[in-house]
Amino acid sequence: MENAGQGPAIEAINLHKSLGGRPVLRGVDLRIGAGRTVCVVGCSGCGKTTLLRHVCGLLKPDAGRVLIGGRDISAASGDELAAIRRNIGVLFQSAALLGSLTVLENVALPLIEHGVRPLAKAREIARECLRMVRLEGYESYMPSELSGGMRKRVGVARAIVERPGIMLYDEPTSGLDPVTGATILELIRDLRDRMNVASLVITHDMEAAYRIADGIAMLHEGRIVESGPPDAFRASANPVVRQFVEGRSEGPMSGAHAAGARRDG
Amino acid sequence: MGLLDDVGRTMLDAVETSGRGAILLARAARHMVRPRGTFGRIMEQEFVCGVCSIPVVAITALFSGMVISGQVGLALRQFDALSTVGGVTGITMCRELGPVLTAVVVAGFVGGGMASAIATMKVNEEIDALEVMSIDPVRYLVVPRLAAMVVGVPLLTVFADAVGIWGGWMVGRYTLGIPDAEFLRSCREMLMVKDVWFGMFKGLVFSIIITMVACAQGFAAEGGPEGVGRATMKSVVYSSLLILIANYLVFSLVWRPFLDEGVRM
Ligand SMILES: Nc1ncnc2c1ncn2[C@@H]1O[C@H](COP(=O)(O)OP(=O)(O)OP(=O)(O)O)[C@@H](O)[C@H]1O
Ligand SMILES: [Mg+2]
Repeated sequence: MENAGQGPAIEAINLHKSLGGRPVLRGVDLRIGAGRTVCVVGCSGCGKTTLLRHVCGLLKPDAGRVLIGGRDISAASGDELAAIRRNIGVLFQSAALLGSLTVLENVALPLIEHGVRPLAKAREIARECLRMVRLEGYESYMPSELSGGMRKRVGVARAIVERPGIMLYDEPTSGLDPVTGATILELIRDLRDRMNVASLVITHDMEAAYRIADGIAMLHEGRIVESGPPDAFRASANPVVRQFVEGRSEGPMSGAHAAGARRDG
Repeated sequence: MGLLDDVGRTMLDAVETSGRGAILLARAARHMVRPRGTFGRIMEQEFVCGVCSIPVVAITALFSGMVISGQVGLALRQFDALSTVGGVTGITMCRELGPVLTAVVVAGFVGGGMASAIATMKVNEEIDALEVMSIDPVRYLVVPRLAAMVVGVPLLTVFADAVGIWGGWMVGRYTLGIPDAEFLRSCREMLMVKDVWFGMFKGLVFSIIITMVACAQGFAAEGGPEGVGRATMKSVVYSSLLILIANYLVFSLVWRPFLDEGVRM
């Protein structure tokens, strides 16, 4: 999943993490080359969000490392951590907009806080990003006045407003209608094609993964159990992947996660 | 046993909160020197903490001043010392009741609001979002609040002093039958400028306690709406306790060694 000759933009090495006394990540290895889009799929509660929170430095691994452009984000703190993060845009699963600010203020916030002046310029850039997610006209709404899908799109706009080289999306299309979802997927692809953005996209949506991914990785029981280009992934013989791709309720995965939890807890 | 456990846990928790508040204060202090770009947010907080609590502080101070003047008057009447009621009321308000009552009201009204606002942001991942946007949550959230409080609470304290003395004066005039001139002369003679300054200084100390406890509790909140409620309640209780304890410490460490002249009361 890596461009030859270029170091990976994101590299997770043997990540281990327990939460609430229970192992969630048990040796995750993942590499995403510059300008590549990798989708991580897996069932609910398998640790996808936990993985993403390690990649942006919100969680520190119990063991293992996360390198962002070669710099170890899991060991960074203070100004160094802030500097690494300036190049990362994150869409949270819940969008995590600031409830006390309007849509436009939310999107313009990173620019303004990082000193973009005059303010009119920051607002103009923010408006442009809102146009990219098809939310023009909603600038003065409060987040509480938006639907879940609209909040998510504001979250995307806010994440891309500083033109980061790395984007992390936690379920960018969940809660969106197919048309709006397609807009977001196109946007993700566009950012890659035009700005060489490396993306980690977390999703349950296999259709979405096939449409945008250069590589798909499946997280199961705390490890990446399968990864490869979309076609290879779709054709994988791994029974866990087969069950997930075909969306069957019976198979190796039924209750496997919970069983695994009990075994290790 | 259960009761002792609870008491012990509460004390430990209060101590831990103070510790985290102190760390926060140290982090906030670095930005307080030049709170750049935060003027708007400081004024917003000034409005929230100052203006909105004026009516509550006024009522609290008014009735406290009235009851002090009444009780002191009845007690001093037996010694034919009604002429000193004005001074005693003034000293009690400026040195003790004005600052302490203002702080306790503000701890509930403003500190509780602060704790719940920050706790809500914490459980909604808004604090995480700030962090990944490389916006220091301490600079963005704590500094404007602290700046507003250290200015607002001392001013509110003086306001409370004045309202309380006026209430005492009215009780003196209508209930105790003290002539206005006598009440005011006694105030002028006994009350000194340092009494007012000392009260404002205490207001400053209390404002720091309130802000730091509220923010520390907000940042430590966990687990949805109940977490927000818990953080709010603890913030109000702990800051009120710390205000009363600090009040005595300031008396014994500042007032007695440095400001008392051993001539009055
Ligand atoms: N703060 C926490 N404390 C304890 N356990 C946690 C915590 N956060 C997550 N977990 C556990 O870690 C596991 C993985 O959670 P995570 O949010 O990463 O799942 P996910 O794959 O993103 O699921 P979904 O697709 O539903 O969003 C879950 O079983 C959850 O119970
Ligand atoms: Mg998740």
